[in-house]
Amino acid sequence: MAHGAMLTELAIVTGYLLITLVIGVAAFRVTDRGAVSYYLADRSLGTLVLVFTTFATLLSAFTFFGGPNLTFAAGPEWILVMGVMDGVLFAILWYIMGYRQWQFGQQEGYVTIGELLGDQLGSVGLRRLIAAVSIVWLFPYVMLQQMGAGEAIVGLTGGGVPYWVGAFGITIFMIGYVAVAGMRGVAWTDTLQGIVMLGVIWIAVGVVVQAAGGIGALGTTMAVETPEFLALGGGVYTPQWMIGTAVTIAFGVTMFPQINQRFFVARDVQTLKRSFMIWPVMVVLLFVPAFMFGAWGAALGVTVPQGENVIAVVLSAVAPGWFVAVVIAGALAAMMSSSDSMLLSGASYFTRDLIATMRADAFGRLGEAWVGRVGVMIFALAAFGGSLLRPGTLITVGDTAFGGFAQLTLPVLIALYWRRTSARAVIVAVVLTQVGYLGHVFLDPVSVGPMTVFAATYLGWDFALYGMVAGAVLTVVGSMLDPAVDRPTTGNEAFIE
Amino acid sequence: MQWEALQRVRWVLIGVVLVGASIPWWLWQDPLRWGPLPVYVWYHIGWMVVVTVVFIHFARRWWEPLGTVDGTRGDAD
Repeated sequence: MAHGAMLTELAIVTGYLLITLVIGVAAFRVTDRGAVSYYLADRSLGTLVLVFTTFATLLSAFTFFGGPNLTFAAGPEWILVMGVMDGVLFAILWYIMGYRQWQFGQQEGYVTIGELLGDQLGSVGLRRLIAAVSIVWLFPYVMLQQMGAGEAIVGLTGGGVPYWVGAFGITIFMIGYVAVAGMRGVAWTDTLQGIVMLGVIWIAVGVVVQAAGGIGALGTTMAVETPEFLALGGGVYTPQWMIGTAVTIAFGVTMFPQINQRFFVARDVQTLKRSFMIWPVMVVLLFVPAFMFGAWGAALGVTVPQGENVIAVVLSAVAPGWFVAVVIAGALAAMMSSSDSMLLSGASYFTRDLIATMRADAFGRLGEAWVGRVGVMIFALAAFGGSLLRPGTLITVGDTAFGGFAQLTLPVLIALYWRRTSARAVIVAVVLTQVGYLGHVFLDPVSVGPMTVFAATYLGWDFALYGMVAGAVLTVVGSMLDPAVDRPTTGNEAFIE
Repeated sequence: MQWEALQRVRWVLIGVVLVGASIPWWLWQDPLRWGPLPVYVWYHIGWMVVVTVVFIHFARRWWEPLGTVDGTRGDAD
């Protein structure tokens, strides 16, 4: 990489970080010092900010880079998988789970899902368990972002800045940013980043179409060069894989702390409704161009070296260097905005659901929001330590985090709706499905008679789906067997008896 | 109460159709193209428009009646 281009990229990344810092400080000035203000922006987010902060959080750099990489290699069917996942299933869960949680939050002042369940089902143990499982799955995700950022900076400077300096610098920036900004600042920068991402991807598509000689020529090229992309299915795209991936990820993300907590922050019902209606539109606006970009790159015959990003390579082939730099800076910022949200939510789970439930005076004179800031620091530094080890299996662990969270979703949904739900049954369901899931992730398949145990799929379906069903069955059957359920209610008749 | 339960069942069925038909299974392995995109991508764009229209109708008319915890705010619109 030329020296000038490197300086341009560094300047663009630095400029972008400075802008987000200014936004964070502005948010700090209108945030008061309480926990609800810090974690939930006073439950005051409007439609635009809520949609973009949820969308930007949903789309880590993994989606932004990983999606085009997949469609480059395997065809654009990924558009359909992500479409049903985020445009339809997630929107429906937004209503079924999100609206319900939002109402409980309005009435009872909950900040986390663990707090809600623990209070409604009368079990501190359940509250701690939900928080602990969530933090376990969150940890590798934060680590992945730090590793990604460290490696991106190595790439950006051609090795001029070593990996650990990059990862450490990003970690320090994230801690400082989250400590200052809280949810309001995170949401505001997410909005900026979401708009930048949308703009950049459409300009990138325009550049590629132009380079290919127009829309018509692009279609003909695709028919000649990659005819297999035109037929739905084939290769990795089996019906079982497409359905399994869409279902586990859609259900999994609803229990991601940084997504789940956003169910509490809407200003009013109108905001929730408008966000719900916008999901399918957002999906078309963002995923179709981003993922077609990868597929068109393959049709244009661009060669992508092993381990490099399709978006960066294809753009480098057809666009000026400064534009590539803007895209990379945007992706880095997206990575950090996801990490900010993860750190903030992880800290709230840690301080409220774990620390505060163990000692009544846990926060002392510091106050909860400040203990939360310390929590952010500890969590981020621990994850940084992990990211220095760069364990090879981390990608696997990160990928399977979706499935791990998905194991929580159905027991939680049942508890949100069914008055008879027993805390003990949910605890048993969560523990057993997590153990079973971990077994499938980490153990090799074993043959027991005619059966294979710990297989990745059974009859072609992902093991995570079986775990989800098992969790639901265990919750319902366990609750029916548990005689001592006398559920404290919020005085409503909305629970199913 | 009876009527509400009926509406819930109706909306669950509509939800199943919206999810199930998000992927055009009947085009499986059919190499069709229109302009720069495979036909199934055009279908996806069209289907998301349909989903949006159904969602708008649901949010305007059925959101509170079917999902409000309190019961007192259900008649808001």
